[in-house]
Amino acid sequence: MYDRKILKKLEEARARYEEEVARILKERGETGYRTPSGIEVKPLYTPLDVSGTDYERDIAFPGHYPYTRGLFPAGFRSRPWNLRQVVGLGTAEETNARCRYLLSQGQTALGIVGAVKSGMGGYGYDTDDERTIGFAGKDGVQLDTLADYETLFAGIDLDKVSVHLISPSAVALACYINVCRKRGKELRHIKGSMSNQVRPGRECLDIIEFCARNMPDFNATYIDVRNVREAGCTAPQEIAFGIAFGMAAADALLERGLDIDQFAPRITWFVNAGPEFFEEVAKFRAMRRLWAKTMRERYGAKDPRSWRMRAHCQTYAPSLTYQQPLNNIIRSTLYALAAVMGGVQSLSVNSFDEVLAIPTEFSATLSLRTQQIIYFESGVSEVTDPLGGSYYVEWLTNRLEEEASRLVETIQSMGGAFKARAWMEQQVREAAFRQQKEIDEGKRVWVGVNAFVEPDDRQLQFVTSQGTDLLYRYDPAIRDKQIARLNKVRAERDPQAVERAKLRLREAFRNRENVLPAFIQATAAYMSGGEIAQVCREVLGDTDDYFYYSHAAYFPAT
Amino acid sequence: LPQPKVLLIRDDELHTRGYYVVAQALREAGMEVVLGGVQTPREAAATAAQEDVDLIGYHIMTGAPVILLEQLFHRLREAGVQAPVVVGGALAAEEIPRLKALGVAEVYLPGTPLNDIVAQLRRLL
Repeated sequence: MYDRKILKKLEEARARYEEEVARILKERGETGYRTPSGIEVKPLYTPLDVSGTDYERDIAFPGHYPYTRGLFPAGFRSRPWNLRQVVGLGTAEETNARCRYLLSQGQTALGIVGAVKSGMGGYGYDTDDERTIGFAGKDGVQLDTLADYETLFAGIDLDKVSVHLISPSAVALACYINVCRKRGKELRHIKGSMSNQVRPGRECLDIIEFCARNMPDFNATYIDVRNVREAGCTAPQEIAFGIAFGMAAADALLERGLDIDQFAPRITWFVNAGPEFFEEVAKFRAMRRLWAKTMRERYGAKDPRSWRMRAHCQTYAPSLTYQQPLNNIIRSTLYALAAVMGGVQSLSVNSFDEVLAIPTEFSATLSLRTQQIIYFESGVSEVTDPLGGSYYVEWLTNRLEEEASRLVETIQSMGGAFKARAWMEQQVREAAFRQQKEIDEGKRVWVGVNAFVEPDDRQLQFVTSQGTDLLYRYDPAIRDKQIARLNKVRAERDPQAVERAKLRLREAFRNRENVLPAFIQATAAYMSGGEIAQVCREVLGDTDDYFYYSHAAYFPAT
Repeated sequence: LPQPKVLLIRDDELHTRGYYVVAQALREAGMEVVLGGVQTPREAAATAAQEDVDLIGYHIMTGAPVILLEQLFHRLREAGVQAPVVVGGALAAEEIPRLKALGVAEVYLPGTPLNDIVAQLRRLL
């Protein structure tokens, strides 16, 4: 990128400068800095650190391969990121009200989290199962049958609002399809996305295959590395594990006879944005570049849409504190800024109270306002990849890509992501433990936790006091309300349609065919997620062969 | 002294970080850790009885702590398990008195250093 003579001259100047800095830092007893991912970072970067980088080959223009600077030529000016705060509480009624409120306040897209211990969470239990006691309405919206989905989306224009179902479940997708069809939409025009994270088990692949063949506008493949990061992995691991999961899905789908360009354009990523600001910005750039290369060079994808790594980001939560909880507003703002500077397509900013409880309308709106202030007031959305060209950011992008590439090859040498899961899990656990040790030993400052502690934590008092009424307080009666709804649906539906649907389900499970059509029929007959899972158990036994019962699907419970 | 045996369970599938970090710290402190994973109170009581554990650690990130602990103690009594129970996770301080009244020995709020947890568990064992 630079003239060789200039670089030569610069080398001498840099040597003098580095000597000067080394002397100053030695006097101060400074011992160097490593990012939380363990990457050693110098106090300054110059053109010499990126002398091997070729602008057109490695960085290029936004909207052009390898997409280091972003996916779209005009950046956020033509494609603003989706303001997609996560919503999911109570029954369908409460979540519908929250969604409509946030949309009225300027939210542009929905991310609806289904109760983990329910049909939508992929576990196949209805609300009347004992597993939901103490959880119903608290771990996402409690949805049992299509009737709940109808309530959930009432008054929401699905043509105008982009919907993401935070659920890996084929039952949830079937219900969503039925809602759309009842509004007169044909399958091939249904838009949206879901958290169908790449995992073993047939459910995941059935969803992708069904959508690839019938719903070309629906984003059916989901690479969730955001939650792997939450569990403790580092930035380069977040990149590498995502690429490896993507490759595992691609290999399995190619085996089912699909063409790479038939499904790769509808792969979306779920990524994190955490405390180390520049490392996060560089991570998004490195991810895009490595994914583009993987799809084009390794898999021979020809459609440029297959090369583009589209990402939804939810900001990092493990660093949010119980102590001085209002500080979390500032933390999440910084993380959101990194995601925006890194060029994500969609964003959810955590609320300050999420360490204590699920967000209230008040705190959820504050998160939305955080995004709006970044978008409308800071000017950062006007210039594409504004940190591109920074010697530091370009160097760090290269460094992260190199490290991630090495990890991808390690995983491939173990037989791919599905086979290397135990090793990957171990990497995550070790990284999490190391980070906790650094905090406990005071090697890394955590404001309000291991430094600047306030014995009479006034922020905490303010947030938790009954008088300010800021905190969500759980009402267990929500479970009884939902069970009553479920019983009403069971009493009112057509029993013959249910019997026909059950026969069809049994046949589909027994013949190992793609079960989506049978699921669509069953949910249309108002069968619940739990009832569908029960049929599955009757036919296949208690097996993980179809449903892969783990939300932390990569690293199943020990 | 025999090696103390600790059962760790958690309430949800997604939030695993603190659970495994604490497990590692207890192992490094010389304790035997039984990883129960996600268990309902009924399942946890059965595991505790079967494994004859000296202490139960319950990681709660999503569920309603008071409801879950009421159930757990009920099931533990049924199963004849007397091991002390400690709780950690995303809880609010206002819940601590109610949890202690139910019989919880210690509650660890977010940000507790691992050494503090280990030291207190040693006293309980």
